[in-house]
Amino acid sequence: MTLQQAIEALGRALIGASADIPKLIEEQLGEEVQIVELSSPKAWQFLLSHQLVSGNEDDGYTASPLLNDIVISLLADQVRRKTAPDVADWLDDLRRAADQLRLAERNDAHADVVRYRGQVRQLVLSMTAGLTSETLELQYNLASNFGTCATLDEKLIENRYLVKRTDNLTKKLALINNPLLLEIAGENSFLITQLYHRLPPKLQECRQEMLDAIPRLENMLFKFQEHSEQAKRLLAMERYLNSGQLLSFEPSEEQLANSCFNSSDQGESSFYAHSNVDFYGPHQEYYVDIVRSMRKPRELFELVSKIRDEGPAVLSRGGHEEEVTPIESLYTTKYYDFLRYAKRIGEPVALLDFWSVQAQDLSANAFLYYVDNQLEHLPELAVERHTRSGGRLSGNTIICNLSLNIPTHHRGEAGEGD
Amino acid sequence: MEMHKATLTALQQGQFICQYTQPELHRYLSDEANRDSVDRDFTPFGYEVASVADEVYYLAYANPLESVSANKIRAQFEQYRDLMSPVVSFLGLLQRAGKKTEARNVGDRFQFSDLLEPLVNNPAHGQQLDKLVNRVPFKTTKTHPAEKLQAVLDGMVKLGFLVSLNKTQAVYVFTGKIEHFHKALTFIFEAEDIPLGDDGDQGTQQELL
Repeated sequence: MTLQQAIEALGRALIGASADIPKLIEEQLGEEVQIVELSSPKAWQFLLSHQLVSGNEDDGYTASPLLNDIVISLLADQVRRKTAPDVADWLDDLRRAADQLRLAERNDAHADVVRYRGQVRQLVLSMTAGLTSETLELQYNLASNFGTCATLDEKLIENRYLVKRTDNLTKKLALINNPLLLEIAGENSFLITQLYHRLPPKLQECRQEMLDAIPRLENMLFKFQEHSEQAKRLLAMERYLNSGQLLSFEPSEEQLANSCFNSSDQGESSFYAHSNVDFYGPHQEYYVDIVRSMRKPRELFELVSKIRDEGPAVLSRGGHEEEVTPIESLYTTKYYDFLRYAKRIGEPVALLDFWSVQAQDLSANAFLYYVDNQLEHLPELAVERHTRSGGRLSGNTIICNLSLNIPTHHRGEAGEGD
Repeated sequence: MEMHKATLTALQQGQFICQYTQPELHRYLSDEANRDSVDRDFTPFGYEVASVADEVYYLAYANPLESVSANKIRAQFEQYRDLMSPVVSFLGLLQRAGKKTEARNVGDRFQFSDLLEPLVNNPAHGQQLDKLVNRVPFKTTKTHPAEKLQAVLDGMVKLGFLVSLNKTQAVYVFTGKIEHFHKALTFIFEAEDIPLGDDGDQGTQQELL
């Protein structure tokens, strides 16, 4: 059987069973429905064998979720093409049908009972199908950026309309609440099943989806408006420049500081020249750790004191308490050792000389880099940096050693730890 | 850790990171925790991570009023001001040749051949292309329209506004840096007090005529 033949067979089966399928869909209670006489046993057999319906003559039949979805989808399309459900009208119709059903049941008018039950089912279906349709349309427009609209202006119009419509609809849907539905249903078990058990979950689901969609729609609307403005500005700027005008405005530093021109688009040379470090050197793995661990001088002093007095410290960083890592304590301790050593000597001390005696367990480059950065916070100290040029970052200056001179009379932070 | 280092390096090099230039790094930076971590690493150097609507990330000066930073920011401004005329002319031409009413944004794509056709068939567009290839970022001595267009697109790629997605079919896509350009344009537009006018489309029509 070809695909086309299979589809034709399905079409014939659906047509053959078209009188019986609604009975399953309308009952939709998850219970089997007895069908005394099938319109077309052959068509029904086709649906059974392809699991579009299940069950048997004795126990009754139920529609498969797939068949339910197809029917809801068809109804949703119908609703979308006509009108989406108007909540106030829908509630009026529902109250009327419920009252008439109760009256028919009191009068034992079987034909009217069937008729008004059908009306109630149809109202519930039209509301759920309509809402499904609305949410599907919303999702489609969100996913496709209003893909059915050809121009930006059309997208703007459609988006504005949809924001307003969805907002109104969610507000109205809030009116259909459980107490109201229970009040309409009264003690009628059929109405309770239809209105209280079946409708609210779908209402809640659709309303939530709509509420979630509104900010996304508004965000998209904002972007569309921005794009529209961009297009206008672009063409106006082009006209302005084509007319021979020159751009002559010189903004202040404050204006520039808060503008998008504050970007470091200078490439690596300026960055490394600024940092004085061969970032790509053999010890680059240290730098990330060290840069992360760097603190302001006062914090460093407190940190070292704590480590010395109490062992591993727990300090606050970025609002979080965290234990000081060994690499931090090691570098900071050696840094302060260096400051004390320089103060004790009282004349220029080369860092690498200190390192070769006292800090060889650390990477020389990393230690140099760390100390250099810390000393930038102590401008009052006399630091002479020894540099060389080049390396892989040609044109840059790379620090290769530094000398620190703390005269014995200096009363600075370096002495506080002693 | 590798991603972190790669991100630090790319930003240090002054790159603008968007989903079309470096999708993995862009994804990494889109996570707020990762962005904060990168930011912390740059803080001691006086830099911070900046973005335009999370479409594109780049490195900015944390203390923009310090003299060294301020000078570099002014240099950026002047660079953009010099680019304004040729880039705006290209974007305007692209808009008209593509018969679009909207400006080009990040993710918008076009094919070389689709753009070439109206440039060849419409004399007004062809003249605008001639003007463009006489300007600095797009300058070329080539004479064939396809070669001229290629020079302009190469210039836009070099400036970081476009990337080539598919070499064989020559599909180009706008990067996140185009959003940065739009911000720069807005700044200059407002600073220069240029009249917006409601006749944007009419002006274009007249130009076409």
